[in-house]
Amino acid sequence: MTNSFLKIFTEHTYSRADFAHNISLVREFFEFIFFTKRDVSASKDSIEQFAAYSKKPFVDIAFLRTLPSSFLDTFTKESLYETLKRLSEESKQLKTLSLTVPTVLSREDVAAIGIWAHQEVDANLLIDIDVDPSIAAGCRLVWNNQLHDFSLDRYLAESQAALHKRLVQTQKVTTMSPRT
Amino acid sequence: MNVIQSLWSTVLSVSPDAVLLTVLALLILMLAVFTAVVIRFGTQLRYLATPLFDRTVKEAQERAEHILVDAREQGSAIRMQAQMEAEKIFTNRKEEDEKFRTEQSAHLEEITLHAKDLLTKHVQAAEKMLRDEAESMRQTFAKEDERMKQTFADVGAQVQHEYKEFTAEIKKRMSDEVAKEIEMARQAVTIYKQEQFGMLDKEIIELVKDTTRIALHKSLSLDEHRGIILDALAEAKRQGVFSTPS
Repeated sequence: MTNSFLKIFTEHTYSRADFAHNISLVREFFEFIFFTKRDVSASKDSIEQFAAYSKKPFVDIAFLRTLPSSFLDTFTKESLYETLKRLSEESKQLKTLSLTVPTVLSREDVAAIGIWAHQEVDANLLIDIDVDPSIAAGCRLVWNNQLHDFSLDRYLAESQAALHKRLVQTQKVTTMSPRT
Repeated sequence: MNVIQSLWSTVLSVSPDAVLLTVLALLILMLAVFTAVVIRFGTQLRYLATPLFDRTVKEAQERAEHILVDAREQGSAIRMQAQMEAEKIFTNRKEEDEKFRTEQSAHLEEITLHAKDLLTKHVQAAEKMLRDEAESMRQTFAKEDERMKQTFADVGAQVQHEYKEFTAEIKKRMSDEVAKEIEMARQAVTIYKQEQFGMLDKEIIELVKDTTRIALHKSLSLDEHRGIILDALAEAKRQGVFSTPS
């Protein structure tokens, strides 16, 4: 059962940071339902009430809205923490695409990259993002424990021979030119 | 008479010891009486005895003088005899001494003469020996000098020859070494230049890279970064990065 939960959960969760954040968000939502409102189960309306109550960002509420009713119905007051814990544990088994990018990306940018990864690589993978400004542009990625460099450094290294050739030519021209 | 007889018989009838004791007592008594008489009549006795005494003294003086004269005569004779003997001894002694001196002088002259003779002989022998030695040394030196000259001449020639060879060898070696050093220095300079140019190229390339990085970092927007990242991921997929088995 948790496998299908995990699939539903990761359908709109792209990074491991988002996964942890969303788990926390779901816990807060169900705590609101079970302990604040003292309802037995959650519904779509409950999401709006939670939005009004918690003043969470739109992105978080949007995520909760993407969760189907079947998913929401499975949580009870007794199974809430156990289910969330199991989800966290099982998420560790998911494939991870580690990316090192030159700058801090917004959630939308991460989501765009995640969507691409779900569509082009694996629907169940999570991305893990680190920031290294020395990359300048592009990214470095680790997949199946292998590092692949698609940063500016790689392109500069590939074009280094041409750059060097150009430098030598420039040097010769400078040396041969008469001094003023 | 009868009294004397009776006394005599009485005496004879007494023991000898008693007689002796009696005699002794009588003698002591007589001596005491005599002493008293002498003390009492001393001057008169002397006057009575003087002529005899003088004569006795005179005789004694004469005898003493006679004895003294004899003694003087004997002493003079003895002295004369002793003087004569002494003179005789002295004369003998003097003669002996003179003789000894004469002999001593003769001996000394003889010794001196002998010593002179010996010394002369030794000096002559030493001079001869020195002359012979000097001659021998002179001959040896002349011989050695000649030999040394010959040796020096040979050694000089050999040294000159070896020196020439050594100089030629050194010159050749030096020129080879210098050529080698120059070649090594050229190579080192070439390598150094290449290394320096390489380092310079690297630094320039790094500079270009850094400049590009800084320029891109500052000039790219988040959307552009995202677009480049997505392009990079698409390139990775195209190169089959994601098709590697897990």
